Amino acid sequence: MIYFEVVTLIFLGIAFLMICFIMINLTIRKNRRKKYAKSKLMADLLIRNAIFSEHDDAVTDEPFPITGRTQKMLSNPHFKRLLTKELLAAKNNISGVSALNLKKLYIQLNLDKDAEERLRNCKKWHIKAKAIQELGVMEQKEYLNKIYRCTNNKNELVRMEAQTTIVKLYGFEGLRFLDIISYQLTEWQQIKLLKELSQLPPENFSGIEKWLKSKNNSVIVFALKLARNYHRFELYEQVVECLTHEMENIRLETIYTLEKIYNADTANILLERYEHETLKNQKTIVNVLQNIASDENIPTLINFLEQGDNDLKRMIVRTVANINPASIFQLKELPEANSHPLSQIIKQIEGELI
Amino acid sequence: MSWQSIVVDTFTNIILVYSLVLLSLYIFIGLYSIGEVRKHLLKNSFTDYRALASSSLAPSISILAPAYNEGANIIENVRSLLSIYYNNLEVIIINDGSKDDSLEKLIKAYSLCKTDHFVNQQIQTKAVRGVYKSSKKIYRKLIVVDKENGGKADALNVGINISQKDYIVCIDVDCILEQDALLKLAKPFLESTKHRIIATGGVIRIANGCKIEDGRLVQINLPNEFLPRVQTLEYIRAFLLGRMAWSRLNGLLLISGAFGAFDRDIVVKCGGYNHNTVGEDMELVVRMRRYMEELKLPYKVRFIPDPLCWTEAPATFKILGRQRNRWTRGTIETLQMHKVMFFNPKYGLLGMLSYPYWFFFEFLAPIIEFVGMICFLLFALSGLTNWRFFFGLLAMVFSFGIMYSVFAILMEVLTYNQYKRKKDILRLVLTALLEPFLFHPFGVWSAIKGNIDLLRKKNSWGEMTRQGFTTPKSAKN
Repeated sequence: MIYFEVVTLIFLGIAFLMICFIMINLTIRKNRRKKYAKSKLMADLLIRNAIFSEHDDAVTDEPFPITGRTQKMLSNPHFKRLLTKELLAAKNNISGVSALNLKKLYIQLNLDKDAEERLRNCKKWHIKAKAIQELGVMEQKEYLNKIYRCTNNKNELVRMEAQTTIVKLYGFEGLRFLDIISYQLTEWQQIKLLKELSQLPPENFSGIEKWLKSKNNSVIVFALKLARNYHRFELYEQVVECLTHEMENIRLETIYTLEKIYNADTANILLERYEHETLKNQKTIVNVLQNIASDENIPTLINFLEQGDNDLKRMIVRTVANINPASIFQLKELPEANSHPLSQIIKQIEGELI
Repeated sequence: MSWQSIVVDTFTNIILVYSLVLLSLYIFIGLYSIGEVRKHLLKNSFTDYRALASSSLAPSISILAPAYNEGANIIENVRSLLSIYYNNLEVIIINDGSKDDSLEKLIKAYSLCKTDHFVNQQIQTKAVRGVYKSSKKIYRKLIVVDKENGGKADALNVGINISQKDYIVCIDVDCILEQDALLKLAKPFLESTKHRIIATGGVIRIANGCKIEDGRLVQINLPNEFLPRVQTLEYIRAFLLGRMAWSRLNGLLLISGAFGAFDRDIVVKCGGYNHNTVGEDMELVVRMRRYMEELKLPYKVRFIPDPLCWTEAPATFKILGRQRNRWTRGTIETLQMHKVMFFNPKYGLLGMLSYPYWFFFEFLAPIIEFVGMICFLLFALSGLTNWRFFFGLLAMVFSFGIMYSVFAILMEVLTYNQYKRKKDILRLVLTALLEPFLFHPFGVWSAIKGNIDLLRKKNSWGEMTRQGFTTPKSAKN
């Protein structure tokens, strides 16, 4: 019984210690917020001076004046972290000479060396990833090799940041990491990379042909997205080859890509492929045909109506009606057009056409 | 040794072992959740959700919001849903045979017209009376379905049949969503290359006391009333510790019906929501997991610790009792429906850990606590055990409860820190001290009543009257 009392006291003691910790933590935070406000003012002033120190719209070699107090503050890691954070936020929001000035200030304060040190020596993945992100935002191209090595890092976040940074720094040329990566690119990472690329002027970069044959399936998927986003018509034949890939999602992406780089044969190729596809891919083919098929494909599409799935039937009717609105009359003449579900589907599509 | 003392000793030892295992599991859950929350926060610091918001590759989502007699606030609630920041979205409001003027109000406010919409009955439901779409382009995301009354599960199934997107997000129409809630909920579906993410859930917080304007949360406050405040603490404990730990283990069995996202394809293959249980949210997740396990498909159910959805908590014991009663019945019904998984290695972690945990420590815990308390009282009164032992054990369990709650508050302060004022944190701590005496016994009693109601085959949802964020309203389903 004495054990209960001891354990009770231990539990209550731990609870008490945690309450004390919470209160101390809140007090420290409050004090830090006050200090932070002061430090932030100093950091902002430094950044403002850098942004507005334009001489004839050009960056000069002259270093930015740094007061003794600021110099002293720079030895404080908290201030350094805060200053870096503010610099990154400012750099992300401005361009031109002001952005170059911020870059100059970043180097002048040796913050790039700090980031490199963290990248090289720190074992914690989030610190490493943050360092890479920082060097990318500050356009520190001289660290390319170190960052490039991280593009196939075993930690997901580190390699994601490294890949994004390489693309940020080197644009389409930076995509060469796709040649070497052994880990799969997540859909999220692909979205990030495409967003990064969308901010660059499109150019006729090379490599997609090779990536379409990659052993890494996610690289093939990404290559297909690149081919369709940048309308690479010259890769049409290689893209069509992916239609017979064993992976369902690669075939799915191929269908989407063909929609964007189609020619006169594409509709027939997709219709030939239709019978061999999964339901999901069949639906995608039918959807895509809305934009690329012609009147001559309508009879084949109508034949597909004999198959089971009602959602697919609705898609087929919608596609047929979109190819040629008059074909709705052709559909109405079908023997099953007056019975469920086709009669309701035709009514819905007729309504959509109005 | 008399037979009475043998009975008392055996009973005492069983209760003691059970308590120690339960406390150990709670300690494990609390500590195990830290890593998952920390990892999420660190990962989140690299995430720019704008990339997802503007991408044509963002997963397509249908929001399904069943409504029954929500006329008082339906226009504002729908407006709030339509203002959600997401590219590839449709909002489906299912009017579940409301007796009030909900539908008429929606038709008028959003210029709705009845359309010839083919409803693909992939899941059997009550009859659909009509599908309405707006004649105005700005409301093109909105679909309103009018159907015969069939309950929340049936209404959600109609929404699933109507939806045309890859993922469904099921929400209570009166919930307040954070602006980036959908982006945060959608991201996990894009992050895995080895597993199919079949469902994701986010943290639900208590909105009582918060300032809400035009369907948006503008100021977070700790509720002033005791009951909503104690539920605030309970939700922090459950979501930040429990669900995060189970998510890390990939053993999560419950995504709240108030806000969760699901892979539509798997939901349809599983047959949608089951309307034979009042715990349809848990039952669906269990069924989806069971389906994936039986087909041996790699999958995960993810949970994110970000507060995404704010809801009004019951503020009276009467309404709260009904809610807890229903939760208990829902849990038992789900466990009954899937009893084949109980310690069945075929279902992996689901069968060997998640299901047994829910059976022993969610379903049985209140029963054991209730029976144990009565028996110990009787033993002590009849001199078979001494009062010191009785109070010693009680004090140990209660002090553990306080410690666990304080730990949850600590986690909240160190992570999201929604209640910024020191005074609010102290009030939460005070609530943690009072909870074992003022709230916990009520929870146990409601669960016991839930068990009794289930034995009496009572299967009603129970009237859930809410005060409403702006004007009072009533919701019965």
